[in-house]
Amino acid sequence: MATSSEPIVSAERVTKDFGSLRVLDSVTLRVLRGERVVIIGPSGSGKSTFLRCINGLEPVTSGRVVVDGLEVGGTGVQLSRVRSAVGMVFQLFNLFPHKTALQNIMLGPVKVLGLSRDEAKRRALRLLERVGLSDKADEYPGRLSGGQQQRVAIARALAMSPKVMLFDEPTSALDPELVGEVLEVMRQLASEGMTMIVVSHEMAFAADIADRVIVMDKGVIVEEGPPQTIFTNPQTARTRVFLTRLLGRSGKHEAE
Amino acid sequence: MIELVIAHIGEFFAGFKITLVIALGAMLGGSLLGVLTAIFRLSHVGPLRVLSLSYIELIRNTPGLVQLLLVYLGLPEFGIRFSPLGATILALTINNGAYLAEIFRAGLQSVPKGQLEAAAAIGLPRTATLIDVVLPQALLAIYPALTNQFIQTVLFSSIGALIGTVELTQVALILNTQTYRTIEILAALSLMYVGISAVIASASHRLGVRLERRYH
Amino acid sequence: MNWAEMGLEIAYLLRGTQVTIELSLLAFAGGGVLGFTIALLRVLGGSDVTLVVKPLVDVVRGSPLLVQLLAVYLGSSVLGFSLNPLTAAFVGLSINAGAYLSEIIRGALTSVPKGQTEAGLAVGLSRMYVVWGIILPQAFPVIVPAAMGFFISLVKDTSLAYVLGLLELTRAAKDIVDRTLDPFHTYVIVMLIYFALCYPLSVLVRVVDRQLQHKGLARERL
Repeated sequence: MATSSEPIVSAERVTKDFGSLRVLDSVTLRVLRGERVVIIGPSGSGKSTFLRCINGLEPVTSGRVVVDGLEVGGTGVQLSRVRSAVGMVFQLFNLFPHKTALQNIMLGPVKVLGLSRDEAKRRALRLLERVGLSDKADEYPGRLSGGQQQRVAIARALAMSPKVMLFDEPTSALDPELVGEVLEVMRQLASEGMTMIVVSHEMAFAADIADRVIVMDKGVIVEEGPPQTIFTNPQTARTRVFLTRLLGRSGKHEAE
Repeated sequence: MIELVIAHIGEFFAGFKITLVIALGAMLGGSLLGVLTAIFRLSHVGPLRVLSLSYIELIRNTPGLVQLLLVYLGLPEFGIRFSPLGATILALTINNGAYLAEIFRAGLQSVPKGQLEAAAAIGLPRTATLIDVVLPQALLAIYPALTNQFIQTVLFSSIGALIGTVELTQVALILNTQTYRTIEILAALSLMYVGISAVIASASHRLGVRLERRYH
Repeated sequence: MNWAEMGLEIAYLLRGTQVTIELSLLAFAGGGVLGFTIALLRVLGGSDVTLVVKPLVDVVRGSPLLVQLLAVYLGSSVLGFSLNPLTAAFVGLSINAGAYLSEIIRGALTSVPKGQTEAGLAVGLSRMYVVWGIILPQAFPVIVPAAMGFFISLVKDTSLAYVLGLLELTRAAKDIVDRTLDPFHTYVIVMLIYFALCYPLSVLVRVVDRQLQHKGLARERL
């Protein structure tokens, strides 16, 4: 897990307003290459919005986001380069329903990276094997389970050879028995050194792979630190309240 | 009734062909007009939006018959003369364009936002997003509405008879003045239209099922 | 054309407009009663009822309104009882409206979740009451905008009664054109009158639709 000192993702005082509602209030975060960051917090805390500011799906109201030396925002070409460097996995998968798993993964490499169809196909098949779905290459998303769809979505994002992978509540829409297969792929990715920023409620997973846990509430970062600290000895009252509510409801102490 | 139809099968078939020409012409022309209108309708350019909205609302809130009479009887005042068939196709094209524009618009807007986000997240440029992601899903969504519009156009083509176009209804009316077997003729005519609608609906349904099966 | 003549023409147009409005309302009422009855018959009645009723509805929906109007007008005189143009138009439009409205109503009734019917029956309510008191009230918000949309179509469809010689708005236009030999302006004015009748209703339908979507009671219709 090699990290360099120059952050690969740098969000400086990012503020986001939706009309009169301030969703993010001067949030600053720097993520180093190879680092695994998990963002937790109650709904409405702005964590998903923050994630989407990183690849420009949400333009910031003020502040600055820089990814791999490129400023997020600006012209279409620049934005496209940023998005090639940043892979995103969505809560609702967002696979293209009219294309097979293979075609879903090939689309970006062919249309954006300019690969030939054969190269793209080889890359796609390798990725499908990596996520354990080689046999589903020619299936349409409608025929795949939620867990399988999400794994294809991860492969689709990886096909662009991103430097950073963003995960927006990747398992929240899955039936409980399907969550494990997706977390397994994410664990594998982490062990290979991918820089990951994950918004999730899966505390055990966060404790497992995170280098740093960020706690957000009402548009600000309330606390951040290594998972051991956050989960067993949270420093702020808001973190404690949030964790109690989350862990209490699930009925077992997750972060041990 | 059956022997009446068989005796005049040639005329009925000729009328049917004209009906088809009108309906297909109006659907194709209307689709082109409708696509353009839908694009203008969703455009950021104010005047284009206003223009397309005015066209859509004007056509959808006035009777097709009056539109037809305007084209056939009103335009000659400016020296633009059409044959009954030409006027019928033109009027129905303009009429269809407005309805199809709304169908296309609804189809485009029915594609979930997440699809656009997924395409953006992998850096897909706008044109590729439109062609590879949005359009296929939009077309699949509007397929039933398109079929319905086609059937409605076939039925509506009958107003051409009122200005003398020799489509199916006019054939029946002419036959009526010749043989005066009104009940039989009109019954046969109704059944013919019902048959045409049914065939279109059934063929479309089977095609639709095949398309659906691919994705589900 | 001097002012007196123009005044006459305007009065003529107003008369035509009046007939158009009256015919629309009458046919909508007639079609509403007919459509409602048919819908209830199909929902409550068994497969025997459907076997008889469905083909009739399909024939009316699958053939042009023009043909239906001609069938009523010409057919009635052939059968011996003569109908004046207004009555013939009323009957023809009502039958057409009845068929389309029956589908709207039936569709709305069947769109109410089956669980509602099951819950009602489980409590011991009769089928009749379940439909009347539980299903129908829930189907109502779906029916209203669709029915309103159909009413707009009906207003436009009254123009076809022109072929029966009925003095509604489009026939008034034709007569004026015959007198003034000014087709373009006349038809444009008539179009604008229809527009003035229908557009406010269209706006109202969209408002109602949006309100219902807001409350989660309806989805966007194509």
